[in-house]
Amino acid sequence: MKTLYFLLILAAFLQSSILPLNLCLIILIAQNFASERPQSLLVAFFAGIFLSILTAQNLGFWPLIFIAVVEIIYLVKKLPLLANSYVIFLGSFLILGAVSAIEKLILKSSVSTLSLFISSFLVIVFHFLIKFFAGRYITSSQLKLKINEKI
Amino acid sequence: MPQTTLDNLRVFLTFSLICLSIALFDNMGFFNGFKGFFQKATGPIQYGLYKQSLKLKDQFDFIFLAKKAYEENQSLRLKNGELLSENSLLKKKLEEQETLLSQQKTLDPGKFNLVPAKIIGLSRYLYLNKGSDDGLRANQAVLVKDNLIGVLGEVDPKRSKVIVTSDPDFKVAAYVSDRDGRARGVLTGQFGSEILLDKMLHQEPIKTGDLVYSEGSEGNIPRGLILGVVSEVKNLDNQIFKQAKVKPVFNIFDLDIVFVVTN
Repeated sequence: MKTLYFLLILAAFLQSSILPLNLCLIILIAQNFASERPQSLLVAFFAGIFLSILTAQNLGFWPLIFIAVVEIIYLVKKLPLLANSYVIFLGSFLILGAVSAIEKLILKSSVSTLSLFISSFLVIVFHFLIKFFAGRYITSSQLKLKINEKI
Repeated sequence: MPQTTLDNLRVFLTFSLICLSIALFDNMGFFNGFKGFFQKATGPIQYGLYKQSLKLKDQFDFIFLAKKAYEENQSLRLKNGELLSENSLLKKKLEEQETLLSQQKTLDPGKFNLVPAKIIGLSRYLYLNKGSDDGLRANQAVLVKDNLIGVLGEVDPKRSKVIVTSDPDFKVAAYVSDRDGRARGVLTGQFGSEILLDKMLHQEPIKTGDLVYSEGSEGNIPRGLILGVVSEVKNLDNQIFKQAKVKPVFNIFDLDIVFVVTN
């Protein structure tokens, strides 16, 4: 969790200074697709507050967007077809597209289709990175069950 | 304990309400102090990141700029070449127009029908780019302003040959006129750029620097055209006639357009 907070803070700084991509949203989407834990609404909330401060937006805007995205992913994860990376790519593309539409409506800022594709691709990349690094240090619940049975 | 969907929804709605409240209060300016404090603290970090990114961008930019500069250079070279050609063409046209205009001022176009022709070659003879198709005939006078260059020799449909004044085949009646009187003679070409004014009587006045004019007695050469300037007078008492060396006023190599008198 600490790593996630650090990553989100770093992403918020990069997003507000250098990169034109919504890095915080990308990391949140990737993390929620990859993680087997329940949705992290608190992380999304604080990440949104921090990003709103850095980007001089209304304090409630990004937290609301982030927690909505996290909730949608939580609901979508219950569907059986989510094992496929293509579905994750499509899902993240749709989510990012919806967020861009809201940005255009409320903030009057346009987003290019190319950046949407790049962001969706980055979601996949982060998704696999998180799965890889998370898998090294956290044992799966099935393995734990086997050990208990032996005892 | 696993969360139920209802619990999830409850948590989500709570968070949503909190966000909406924060948004509303922020709109009214309640969080300005809080925001200002954090923005002041994070400002230097954002600035540092931004400056570093610019430096990094500059490092890589030269790669793209170099290619762009090369392409731009090639395109500019091409354009420059085209412009130089166009400029050269325009200069030539301007010179032609100026020559035409100055010729018209010198010789009355009402009296003489002048056909302009370009010099396309010079060996013993001068070659012009006009011929019988343009109304040129043999023995017609070729001049520049009011200076006689020569007479047409052979004329082809699109090309003519000019016998210049310094050619040994060129002979024309000429005179020199000054305050002291007039000297008459025959102008004959020598090889090279020398012309000789011969058959002048000893008593006829002539001196260095006098202009030599055409008599116009042949019919094809107008009267009063400048043939050259006297550079030396040969006054030998044992000779019947006196002679003078004449130098042409124009250097043929400096000429580009000449005019042929067709009437």
